[in-house]
Amino acid sequence: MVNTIGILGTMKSLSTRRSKSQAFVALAKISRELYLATNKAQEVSLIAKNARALAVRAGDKVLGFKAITNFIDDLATSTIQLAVGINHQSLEIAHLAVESQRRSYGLQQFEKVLSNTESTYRETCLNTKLRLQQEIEESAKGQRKKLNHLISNLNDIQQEIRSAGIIALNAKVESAKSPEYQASLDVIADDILTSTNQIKERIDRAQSIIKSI
Amino acid sequence: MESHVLSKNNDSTWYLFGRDPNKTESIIDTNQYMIRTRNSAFLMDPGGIELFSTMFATVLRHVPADQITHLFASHQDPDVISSLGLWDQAIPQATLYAPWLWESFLKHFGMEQMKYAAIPDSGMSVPIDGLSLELIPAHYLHSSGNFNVYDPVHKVLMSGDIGAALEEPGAPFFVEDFEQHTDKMRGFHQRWMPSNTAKNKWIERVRALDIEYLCPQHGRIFKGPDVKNFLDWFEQLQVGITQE
Repeated sequence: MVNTIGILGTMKSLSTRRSKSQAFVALAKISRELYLATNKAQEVSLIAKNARALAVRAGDKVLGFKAITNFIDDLATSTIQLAVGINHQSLEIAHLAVESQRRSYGLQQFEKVLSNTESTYRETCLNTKLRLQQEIEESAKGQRKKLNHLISNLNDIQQEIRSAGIIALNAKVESAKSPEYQASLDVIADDILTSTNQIKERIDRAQSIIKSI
Repeated sequence: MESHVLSKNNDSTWYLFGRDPNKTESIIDTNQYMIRTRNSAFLMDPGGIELFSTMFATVLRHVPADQITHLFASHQDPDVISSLGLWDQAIPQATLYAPWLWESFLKHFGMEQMKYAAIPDSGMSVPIDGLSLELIPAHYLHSSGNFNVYDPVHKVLMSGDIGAALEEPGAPFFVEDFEQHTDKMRGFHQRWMPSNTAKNKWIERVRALDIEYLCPQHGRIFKGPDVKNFLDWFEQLQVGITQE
């Protein structure tokens, strides 16, 4: 579980150029992890579909396995949708973080102009400075809100992947009940287990990247 | 950054900005120009992003931000206009005059608020407070979409990279010994300007103008007889040459 309070504290301190650049680089990395997780989930979905076809051929002898493959396919589809959604969210936050960095840089420049006492008309750019400050604050609020959604969704996806792993283990138990198909069903169960573990690793990495922002 | 009056009458003033002593050595020195009229200002090739705060502070010595109504970019180079995203914040009411060819490229520098007035290849006139500025084609010198600004009242031609020279920091603003100065221009023009045809077409066009000051974006300004000296020198120079 990601420490939401800690993240919020970090987001509040995103007013410096350095932490912002770290934020959008980290968010791009999260996006990469989710992209790779999505690919794996697609693999799981394909394996589950193949398993379902095998179960149909095997008929009543593997009824338990068939129910499991249906469930895993549904989980894989749901995982893909969640991962794509989270990826989109992380890119949105990264975009906001980049915009904030540009505005922060602009703010620094306008502060320099305002501090130049030789500039007779320097006060005429005061409104620009105030507007930038306001935009930066609003952007930080927007980022915090979106990051909370992202954290929550990452927790959801992690929960689903845990369920998929447990069900894949059950699939191995079910395969043992059908000696005729056990070898094929074991391979399928192992493939699902391997892929869901890989998805779990990707999500773990995404969560630890958020912690490091 | 130094700020000088180049030419002045009752209605308008040409300013020259440059030779910033605080500029980092790794970026090329640039000259910026501005025409201040009674109620407006026309800012030319405002410079790179690294220069912005110094440049803007210097400009604000002479004009309030809300009176900077026109921004001009002779072409798309970063030393000319990579500060665009910040000017867009500073003077959202202004219009950017820049080659049509570079519109979708220049917007990569960030431009959300200002209007973009696309200069057609044949050039255009820009009226500003009773003054009429001519945006003169200078394509392929060096950029493929490139313009100069001519003011017939002050007899000033802002020539962008044409006439540019690579100078030591703190060099004078005006050419003092033309022959000596050619050594600082030759390599730049031969390497950066790709077309003798384009060069000669520009020279023919510019010879028809009455010019007292020829003002490049880098190096020194040509004044009086040195304007003709430059055009004669440039005419005989073969360009599009690399030292391979």
